[in-house]
Formats: sequence, structure tokens, C-alpha cells
Amino acid sequence: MMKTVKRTGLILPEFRLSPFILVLLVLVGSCVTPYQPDTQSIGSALVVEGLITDQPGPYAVNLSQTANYSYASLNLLISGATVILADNAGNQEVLKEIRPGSYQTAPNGIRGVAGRSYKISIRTASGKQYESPLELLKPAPPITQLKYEYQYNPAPFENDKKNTWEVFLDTKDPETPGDYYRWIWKNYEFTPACKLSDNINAEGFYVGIPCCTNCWNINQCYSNCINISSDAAINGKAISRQYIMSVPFTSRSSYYLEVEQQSISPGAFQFFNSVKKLVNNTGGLFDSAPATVGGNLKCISNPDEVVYGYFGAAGVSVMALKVDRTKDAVGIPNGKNIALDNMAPCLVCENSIYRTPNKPRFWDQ
Amino acid sequence: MRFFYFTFVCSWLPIFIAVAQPKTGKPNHSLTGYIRDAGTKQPIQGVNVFIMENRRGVTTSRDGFFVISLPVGTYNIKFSHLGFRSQTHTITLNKTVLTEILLEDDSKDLDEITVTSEAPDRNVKKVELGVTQMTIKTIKRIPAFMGEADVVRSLLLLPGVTTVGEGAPGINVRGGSTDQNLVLMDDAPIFNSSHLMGFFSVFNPDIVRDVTLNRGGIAPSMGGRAASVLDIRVKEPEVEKLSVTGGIGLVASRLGIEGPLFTKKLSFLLAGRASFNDFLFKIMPRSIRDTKANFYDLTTKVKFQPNEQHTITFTGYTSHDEFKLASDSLSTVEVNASSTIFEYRTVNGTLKWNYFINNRLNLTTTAVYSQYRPETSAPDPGNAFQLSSEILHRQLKADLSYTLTDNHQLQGGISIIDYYLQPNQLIPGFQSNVLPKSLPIERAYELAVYAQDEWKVNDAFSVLGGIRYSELLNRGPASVPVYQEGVPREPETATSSTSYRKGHIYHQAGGIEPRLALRWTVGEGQSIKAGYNRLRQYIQQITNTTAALPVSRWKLSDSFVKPQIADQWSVGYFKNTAGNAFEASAEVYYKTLKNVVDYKDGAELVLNPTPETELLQGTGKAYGLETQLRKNKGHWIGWVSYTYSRSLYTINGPYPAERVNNGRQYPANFDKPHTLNAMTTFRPNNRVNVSFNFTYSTGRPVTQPYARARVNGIIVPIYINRNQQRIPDYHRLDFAIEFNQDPAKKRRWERSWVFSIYNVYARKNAYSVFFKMNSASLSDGYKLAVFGSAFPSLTYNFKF
Repeated sequence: MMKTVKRTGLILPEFRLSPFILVLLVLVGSCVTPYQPDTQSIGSALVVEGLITDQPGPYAVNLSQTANYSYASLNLLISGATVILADNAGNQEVLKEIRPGSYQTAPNGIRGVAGRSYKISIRTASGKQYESPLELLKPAPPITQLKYEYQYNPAPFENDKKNTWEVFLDTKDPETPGDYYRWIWKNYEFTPACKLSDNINAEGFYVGIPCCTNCWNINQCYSNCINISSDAAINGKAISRQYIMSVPFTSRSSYYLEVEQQSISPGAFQFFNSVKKLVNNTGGLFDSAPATVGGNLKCISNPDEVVYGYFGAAGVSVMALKVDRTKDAVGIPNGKNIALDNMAPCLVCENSIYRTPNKPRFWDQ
Repeated sequence: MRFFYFTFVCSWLPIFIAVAQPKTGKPNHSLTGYIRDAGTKQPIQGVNVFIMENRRGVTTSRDGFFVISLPVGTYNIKFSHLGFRSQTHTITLNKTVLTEILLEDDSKDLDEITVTSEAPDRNVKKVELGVTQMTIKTIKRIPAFMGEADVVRSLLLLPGVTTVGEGAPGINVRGGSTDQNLVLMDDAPIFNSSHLMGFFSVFNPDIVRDVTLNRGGIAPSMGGRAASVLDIRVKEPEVEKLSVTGGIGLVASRLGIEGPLFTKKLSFLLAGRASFNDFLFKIMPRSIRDTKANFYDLTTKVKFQPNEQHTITFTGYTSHDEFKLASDSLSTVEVNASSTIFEYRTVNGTLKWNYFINNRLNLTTTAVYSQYRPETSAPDPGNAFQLSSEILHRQLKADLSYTLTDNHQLQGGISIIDYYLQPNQLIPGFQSNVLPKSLPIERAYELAVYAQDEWKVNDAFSVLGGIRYSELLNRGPASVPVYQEGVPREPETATSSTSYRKGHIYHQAGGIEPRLALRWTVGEGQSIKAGYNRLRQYIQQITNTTAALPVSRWKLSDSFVKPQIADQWSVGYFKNTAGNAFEASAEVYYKTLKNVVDYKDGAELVLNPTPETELLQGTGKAYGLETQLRKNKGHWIGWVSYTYSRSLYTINGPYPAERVNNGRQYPANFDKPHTLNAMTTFRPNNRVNVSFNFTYSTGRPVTQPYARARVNGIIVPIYINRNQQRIPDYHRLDFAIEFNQDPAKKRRWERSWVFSIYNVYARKNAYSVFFKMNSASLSDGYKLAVFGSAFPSLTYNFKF
């Protein structure tokens, strides 16, 4: 898979370089240095992201703008738009803007049903109208099993990266051709503390303020997370050893993981696939020519206007896995040691994308 | 087939008419002969045979043969060639005379040092333009990367030849793509000219005699690709004694044996080269410790010459590469793999019969077999697969040359190629979940006939003109999809398909290829040349990466993919001064290209049964100026060349999805306007050679993002137009020093050492420029340098 290249003397982020380039790097002593070409500029355009599944809602649609391709520029959010989610059975719902640029269905509102098709229409504050085509919600086959394998990696410096458990998924592809998959994962970690001190104290502990209720921290993939596949080469057979993620050695407690298998449309697959290629493109000689990634939305009021992003519908199947980290691993776990400050008033465990007071579905299984 | 027969007769007709013409004037006799190197017995091409009495001259052909028709008499004839001591012979001509002249290498003479096998004034005298020949001597003197003398890489020092990047496979000639070069090794095409993905060329320097790059005036006898013909000749085996040569280098080691077999009439050569560098990876970081990079190649040549009239040679060549990478990083098969093995092999054979009928007629008949099989595979149980493809090129050709008079040298020929092309085949491994898939086999004949005449109008003016007719005949069994009219060609718009039975010719494309070259001598050592040629290409490599991978698939032209047609006009001025010690030349060319190939955004070509839905064709133009100044004599020799060249494509299909950059003209991937090359060798005495080589070129075009969007937390770069920016300019200096033994002393065991440094001042030249957003650094763009430091290397060569 992807490798991290770190060299002394240069501050380098995590580069995802293909092994071929890596071979070149080591073979012939090459290097990567920052280089600032002239920035190109186009006017800002609309970016849409949204997904409806057959799992309980609410479902969200986010609207933002494109920005210049430089670190300093910002993707501004678009608020004040009217977003309508509709299906082919005549149901529709106007989404509510819960945060600037983020629009959601009501908790008791529309519910995704496999077999139906969904679309969104958007009307911005400036009066421009956009629409997606109907996207079919296709049920996802169940995950056959999740399994993990311990792996020792000598290269990294930190012990949580030296000791990892690679998680793999097996599933059975339906007989029909044209099935496309996307996998995402979430890790729930029970936390006694709802706030931590910025630094460790003299004993090497972080001082934590306790939560008022049970609370779980949520980790998910935050960068380079497009994990997709198609049944083009294996139609009707098993998809085996699909890599999902690597569990770090941050503690000896078991690692709770929920893996979601989405059945996505061919259009969505194409979109994610192009994005994945672009994100991994290093402009090398053996990389494909970069492509323009549009999406499935159109501007109705001005057909020449380009809209980016994708609104999709996906059937979902979920499976949980607990990884036993008491065996195999070498050395001590590289995690945070927490000392609770029991004198401090407790804090509420706020439900967000990073934390939840609700017990994960399969926690007790 | 009927049409083909017809043209065959037409093109041969002038020759038969010519044969039948009665001779007039006083009785002439032919003086013929072979000129060879006294040491190696190799024929020498381009030797000047000069008749002192009437101040006329000819030059020897590729096999060292010359013929001149003279009235009865006694003549003083001078044989001269740069790099050899001149000889003058007195010959009495009262009947047809066949002589053999042996010229001695002048490498012991310090005042005149060889860099070329060309005649000193060949530059000015020969008719063709845009043709450069390099001997292996010259190539070996150029400082080489990791000490491997490299036939293909050395061509990059010639004007008009560029590459998209260091270590990229193939060369780009006068604004053409890499698959537009026909690379021939003793007449057999080489479909992949590089080892290890492009680091080294597949030609063993020990067996190459010379390399000719035809990029301008391509003679009618050659064709099949749109940009150039790179003709690599394997040396003839020594007939005098058995000898062994070899070398030990950092990358590869070589061993060769050659000599007579039982009699001097039968001689052979066998040379191999192999890399043993796996150990280099073993000491590397774990992440690439599993990498394997191995290659070998084996060349053999057997020559049988029962008498002066018949020569039969067989050249065999095989090469194999294995490159194993961790993970499925370069392949596009949608399967999980822990490692990928790229493997490719070439098997070539050429059987050639040269029949010297009489001193006017010479017939060469050649049979060629060339097979190229690349393969990508993954070993994981459950997901094991092999993705393979194959090209098979089988060819028969005959060339007849006829010396009508001193002023007319006629040649005609016929060629038939039978192509068998398996584009992609996916074979599952044992107990694998991968489904087998096989694309239909493409089959076709490529036919060609040609006739040419080299006509010396007078001392000042010569013409080399001719015509070639070529045609591709696609044959069944085949199933050709029918696409709906009036809509973009997509897999979904195929309405039905037509099936053709075995052997049925279901599509044909072809046409005339006129060729013309003129030379006008404007003064002592000065000439002006002009040329026009048309080239048609029926087979192409299709890939939408900047450089083609050796495993990229090939495609024959068919009902949807039209043949590529290049028309080139060129004019040049050539001047030699100071007894041919200095050569100066300037050439301009303008080329139009029809049906150049580019791809739709995000095209997927691997295992695609309908590549025509991803492929776009348009027009292109390439133009440029090539200048060169060369010094051939003295302690210092070398050349400086500057090239300005552009290569621009326009792809403007009827639908928006079939346009590139909205149908506007854009630079091709290999458009590099400015190139400056300098190469010099200093020879203070006959034991030491010091060489320097400098190269500068404009960076290649790249596509950079115009904006970014944030989708699901991922920053997505937005690209609008292709190839509008460039990577930084490239420059590099190399150095080599060679220590030889004193050539004046005869030894049983000859040896030499070559020490070279590649990229002397360790410039971090950009291999690619890419973009990553990150908060730890204030920059968004990054430059990757692959050969970012100086690479010293040492090679040891021996001969006994």
C-alpha cells in the first residue's frame, strides 16, 4: 500500500508515493523538495456532497465553493440555499440548514429505501438552480466476515505504528454485473474523560475532566480514504482480503471497529475513482493524465456552468469487529495515559462526529 | 490482394525496362570490391573510392561493397575513410575486376582521431538529410549512466531527439511519440527498447556495429512508423580467430564470444548480458526490500559465406525483464495485490540471404520473426492473476538493387507483414476469484512495395526519389461493433456487432508514400539539401500515461482507429571546412500529422474491449530547427547542437467529450522547445580518453490544477486544460575517463577501465511536479528529482 517517506532536513508531510517512485527514490537517491509554481485561477464554482442510505437518517447535504489551488485559500461554505431531497415515489423533503453550508433532513423525515431512486435540487440565495439526476439506491450484500492479522513494521519510529493489526473484509458479490463498492470505517473508543490537558504532567499523565455520562470517542479515516472497488474482474464471486484499515497499538484494550459496506452507483464509483486517481497522482511519467472531475450535478439556470461533487444513494451493510490487542504486540502501547481530575465538575458528552454518549450498536456483542 | 499484385508489377516495371535498355558508348568494365577493416574484417561503409584520373568517386555501401564503371585503362584509385589510413592502389581494368581492400585503423595516429564511420565529407555529399549514424566507438565514449554504454540514451545527444524524462522508456524524434519510431535490430522490429522500465536500452553495446537514425529523408525502402527509423546493425562475427570479450559493471555484466566455426566461411557470435543487482535492494529499507529488478539479453549472429556471391546471416535475439514491486501500484486491474510483477520478453530472429547476382544486380531476401510478450501478475492466493499481451510480427521481404549506370542506382522491393496481436488477456491463478477475460485477437497483413532511384544528375546535383505504397488489411475472425450515428462513441452507443469469418478481409486502409531528397552542391564542401516524405503507421501503443509502460497495450489500426499519417518537409544547409575537420549544419523541418492519438479524460484502456470509445484522434503539427557544429580531428573532438522544436496537437471531435482543451491546439506531452547538447572528448595520448557531455532542455508540459474542491473531507484538485504548464528546465553535465593499454603493443589480454560520473554538479532536475495540500509546509507544489545526485560508476572491460 502507500508508504510514508520522511527524510531528515526537510519538513515533509505524509507523501503517498507509489512503490515504483519509491524504488526510484532509493535506487538513485532522489528527493522531493517544495516547489512553488504559478498559481492558476478560475472563478469559484459550487461543490456539492450528499448521500442517502437505507440506514436511519438524518441525511446531510453540504454546499461549498471551489477555491484557488493553494494552501492559503479557503473553501467558503454556501448558506441560505434551499435544498430539496425527493424520491421517485413522490416523497420530498426540504432540508434544514443546521450549520452554515450543512443541510439535513429531519430525524423523523424521509427514509432511504432500497429500490427507490433519489435526487436533490438546490436553489442558492442568488437564485441559481441545480439538480442531480435520479440515483438508484441499491441494497448492499452483507459482509461475510471481518478478520485481522498482526503485522510488525520495523520502519516507523513510534510503537503504535510498529505494531499494527491489518483488518480485511470478505464479501460475496451478487451474480449481476455492475456492482460497485465503497468501504468506510469508524472506531469507537470508550473515554472516561471529556476534556484533556494540553500537556502531560510530571508523572507523564494527561489530566482529564470526567464525563457526566458514558462517552465514546469516534475515530475515522481523515485523509486518503477512498476505498472502492468494482466487480468488473470478479463478478459473482467472493471479494476476499479487501483491506480496510490498520489498527494502531495505542492501548492493550480491545479495539472496536464498525465497517460499513456501501453499494454505490456506477456514476458514484467513477467519480470516486477519478478523485482517488487525482489525489494519488504525482505527475510522474507513469501516472495517467489528470482528468477533469465533474460530478453528477447540473446547473439548470446556466447549462455551461460546471458543478463539482456528487449526490449519491447507497445501500449499506454494517459489521463490527473487536481486535484483541493483548497478544502479539511487542513493547509498550503508544497511547495517552490519563489521570482523571475527580474534583472537577463533570462535562457533558456532546453528540458530534468526534464523540457520542450513545453506546455503539454492537458494543456488547 | 489483386490491387497489391497490380502495384507490385507497376513498381517493378521501370526496373525491367531499365534492364532491357541497350548500352551505348565505348566499352566499359566494372571495378567492384569489398572494403574491410584490416583488424576486425568488418565491412566499412562510406569509404570514398576516388579515381584520380577522372576525378570521379563513389562510396561503399553498408556491406562495404562498391562498384564503379570505367572505360578500359589503368587507374590510380584512392581509398579513404576517416578513422583509417588512406591507401592508393593502381589497378588495370581490362575486364570486370573484383578486389578486396583492407584498411588499417588509424587509432595509433594521434593527429587524426575517429569519431565516426562516415566518410569525412559524407555530411555534405550524401543525398539524404536528417540521417545520423553513430558507431559503437562514439557511443562508448559518451559518459554513461552507471557505466552502461547505452545505444538509445546516446541518441538523446543528437539534434531532434528528446525524452519525456530521465529513465523514461523510448525516445521522441522530431515531435513524434515513442511508438512512432521503428526500432530495427538487423531488420527485426523491437517493440520495447528498454530494460528496467526505461533505465537502460536493450542493446548490448558489445555486439552493435552502428546505429543509424533516419528522421528526415527516410528512404522508400523503410516505413511503417510516422516519425523515424532507428536502424541498429549487429556486427559481423570475426572470421580470423576466436575471441572473448566481456565487462563487469555496476548494473550488468557482459560476456561474448565470436570467431570462425570449422572454416572461415562460417563464423558466429554469441553475446549475453545480465544484471545481478538484486543484492542492491536487499540492503535497502524494508519497504522496497522485496523489489526485484533483473534482466538479461542474448544476441547471436551466424554468418555463412560460401563464396563472394552468397552471404547468409542469421541474427537471433532474446531479452527478458522481471520487475517486482510491492503492491499493485501501476496496474489497473481492480484486484487487491500485495505485490506486482512486470515481466516482458522479446524473441527475435532474422534470416537474411544476400545474393550478389552480378556487379550490377544484388538481391536481398529477408525473413523476420519478432515476438514481444509483456505480462503483469500478482501472486496472492485468492486474487492471483496474470495480465498478458502479445505482439507477433512475421515478415518476408525482398529488395533488389540495380546499378543502371554510374548515375542511376535503382532499388525496388516488396514486403509483407503478418500481425497477430493479443491486446490483453487476464488469466486467474490457482484457486483465484479473478474471472478470466480475454480480448479478441487482432490480425492483419501490412503490405508494402517500393521503388527508388538515386540519380546523379551532375556533379553538383543529386536526387533520391521514390515511392512506397503500403496497405493494412484487417482480417477475421473478428466481431466489429456498430455504433449509433450522430451520438458520441461510447460503449453504450454500440447497437450491434458484425461478425467476420476467419480470413475475411473486413477493413483495409492504405496509400501512397512519396519520398524525395535533393542535394545541390553550392561550392567546395557546401551543399543545400531538401526533402519531403510521407509516412504511414498502422500499429500504435495506446496508453494515457505520459510515458508508455513496457506493459502498455498495442493496437492495430482498424475500422475506428485510422492510420497515422505524417508529411514532412525539410531543408538543410551543410558545410565542411578545414579538410572536413569542422562540420556545420542547419536543418529546418515542418511536419503535419493526421490521426494523432490522444485519450478522453480518465480513459481506461487495460482490458477494455472497445478502446475506440476512449481514444481520440486529431491533427498535429511539428516544426523545428536543428543546428550542429562538429569537430572531427585533433586532440579535442566533439559537437555542439541546438534544437528548437515544437509539437502541437489539435483534437476537435464533433462532441464536447471528444475534444481536448475544447478543441484548441495544445502542446503534446513531449513538446520541449529548446534543447542544447554538447559532447567533447579529449585525447591527450592514446591511452587516455576524457569525455564531457552537457545537456539542457526545456521542461516537459504538465497539467496543473486550477482550483480545489472539498468533497467528503478530501481535497480534490480541479483540472481544466491539459499541458498548459511546464516542469522546470533540465540540465546536466556528465564526465567519463577511459584508461586503455597502449594499442601499439600487441597483447593477448586487452583490458580497459571506464570511470564515469553522471550528473557531475548533482542538479536536482525535476522528474515530476505534483501537488499536495498540507499544513506543515507553506508550499503546495513539490518537485520530485529522481537522479538528484552525482552517480559515479566504474566498468572493467576485457578482450582476449
